[in-house]
Amino acid sequence: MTVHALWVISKAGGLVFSRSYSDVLPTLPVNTILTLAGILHGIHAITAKLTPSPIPGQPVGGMESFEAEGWAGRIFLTATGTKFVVLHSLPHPGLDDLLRRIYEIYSDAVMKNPFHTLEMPINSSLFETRLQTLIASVNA
Amino acid sequence: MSVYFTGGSSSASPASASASAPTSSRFSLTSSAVSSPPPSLYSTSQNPSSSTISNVPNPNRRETSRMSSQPSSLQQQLFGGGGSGGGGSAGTGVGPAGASGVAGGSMNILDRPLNKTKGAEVGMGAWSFLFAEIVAYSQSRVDSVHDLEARLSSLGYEAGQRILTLLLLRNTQTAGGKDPRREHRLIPILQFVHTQVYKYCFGKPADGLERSVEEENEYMITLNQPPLTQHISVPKDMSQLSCEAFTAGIVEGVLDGLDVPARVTAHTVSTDQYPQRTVILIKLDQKVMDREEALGK
Amino acid sequence: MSFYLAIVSPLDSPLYELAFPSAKPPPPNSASSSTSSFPSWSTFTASNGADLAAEAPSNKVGGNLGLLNGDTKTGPERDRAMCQMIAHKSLDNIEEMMEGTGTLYLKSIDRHNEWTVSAFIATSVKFVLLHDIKNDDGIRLFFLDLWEAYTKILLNPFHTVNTPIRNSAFEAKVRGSARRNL
Repeated sequence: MTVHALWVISKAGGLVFSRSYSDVLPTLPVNTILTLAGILHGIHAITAKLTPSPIPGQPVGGMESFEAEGWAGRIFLTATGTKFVVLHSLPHPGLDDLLRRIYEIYSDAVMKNPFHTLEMPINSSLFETRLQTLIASVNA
Repeated sequence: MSVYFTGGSSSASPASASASAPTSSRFSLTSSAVSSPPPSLYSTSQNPSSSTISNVPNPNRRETSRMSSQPSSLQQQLFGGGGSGGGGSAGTGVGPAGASGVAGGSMNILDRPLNKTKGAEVGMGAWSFLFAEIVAYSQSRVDSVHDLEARLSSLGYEAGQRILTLLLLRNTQTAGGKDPRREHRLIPILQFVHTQVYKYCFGKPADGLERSVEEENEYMITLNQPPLTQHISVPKDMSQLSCEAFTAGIVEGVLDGLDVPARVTAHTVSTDQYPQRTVILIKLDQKVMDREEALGK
Repeated sequence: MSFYLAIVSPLDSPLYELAFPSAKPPPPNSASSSTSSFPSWSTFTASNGADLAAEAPSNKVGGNLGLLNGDTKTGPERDRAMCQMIAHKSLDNIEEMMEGTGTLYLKSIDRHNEWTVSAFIATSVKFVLLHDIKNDDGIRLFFLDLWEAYTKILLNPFHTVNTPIRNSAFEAKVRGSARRNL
């Protein structure tokens, strides 16, 4: 499995972090990625609305993954509404574990950082280096 | 897969901490065994009914005491539900009556055993969130990086004074109360800080203690992976800031309590192996150097 | 047979003071010998035990800190001023002793008439005890109890090393320990 890119989308649908980790992915301008992330957020909200027979009182999950020829995307929604989107190659052994580790790094390096403001772009060198280490070990 | 935010982070913490620091995945910070919602730095101070600030309506005392000038309603807010019981007992009880005046089954802090919370641990995650709030709170009230460090240092100083007293008392009690001692020479004092104090705070001794080659009155304590600030990444525009100023404050408080006045600062000195390596620089007062010289080798 | 305890802040201001009588029966000769050796202070010595003892129960928490007014310097008030003066005077001695030793309990470091001064260094704060009988072990145990109570007071985040102690439970603890050990 190769991880092509990671996006972090805030509760409000804004892109707070995006990194590309492979050179096979076409490089897109930041504004385009912002728009794409916003659309993905909207699609996710629509799929949540479409969930058949939702259990009252329980949070409804929306779209979890999408697949195309040779690559796919996985959306990991946290209980607080933050979405991690991973674009990856197929097949994808160990993807669930990877997402869990990303969430772990996020909660350590971002949420425990006093210089981070909620819903604002992530500007933490620690977060980036730890992600770099993690994804490099997966991509290798 | 349902991962709740707090649950997810706290279950995640031991794993990540053990990956980075294999010796201790949790570190104890002056111990609070009773799990009260805000993790208290000082174990005995968290009893909500402990109205150690007596609220006696006496004009003499009121004007000289900073704390007792607060209106009783505020004090009751501060101390929660037990405050009314505690305040009432302090108002009526002078002398032995006050000691027994504990309402609602809660105990006076003076009657709590001091060693009950010894060795208890505070979760790393809880401490990280608390420390992040401390830094964010301090930052909102200062103008410069230097002021922020001074503020963190003063918070650490208060903690250091208490840690020293508690540590010495526990050491004495462990030794059976015979001949209570403290270190009074410089090198043993620094070693005491390096091993005992640091171990008490963070579960393991600091990584290095050395004397500066340039200045005779400068000593350095090295921390390869400071646990307090392991999740903090300082923005580029504040690059001189080291949040370990809090630890430096603890060291300063301890040294001051041992009659070794010094100016203690923290600096991040990255190496390839340890990007967050921090050096606590201790610049001793000339008085200390003079005294060391007078006491001889 | 009486004692005078003062807790002194790093800035040399009193945080707490208390005078109390001894619980133990007096040894047969000590009071008379001190009176005879210092006849000029005989009124002070003679009145001191009884007066301090009589005053102690009515003594409010924390006592009357600070300097006294000139017009109240009579009887027990003057004894109190005297004790404060002796304790203050011995601070220099204590600080001198502190530099050379790592012991926290400094016994009998100073004398003034019938009073002997012992001290205990609870890090930056000093406990000073004036006593007129020799009881090293009892005083050591008393100081250890006092230290423990003080540490618990200090652990209160609203308390600093320079905050006067005005806690009735603390006073009860000190008195209890004095009854047991002195």
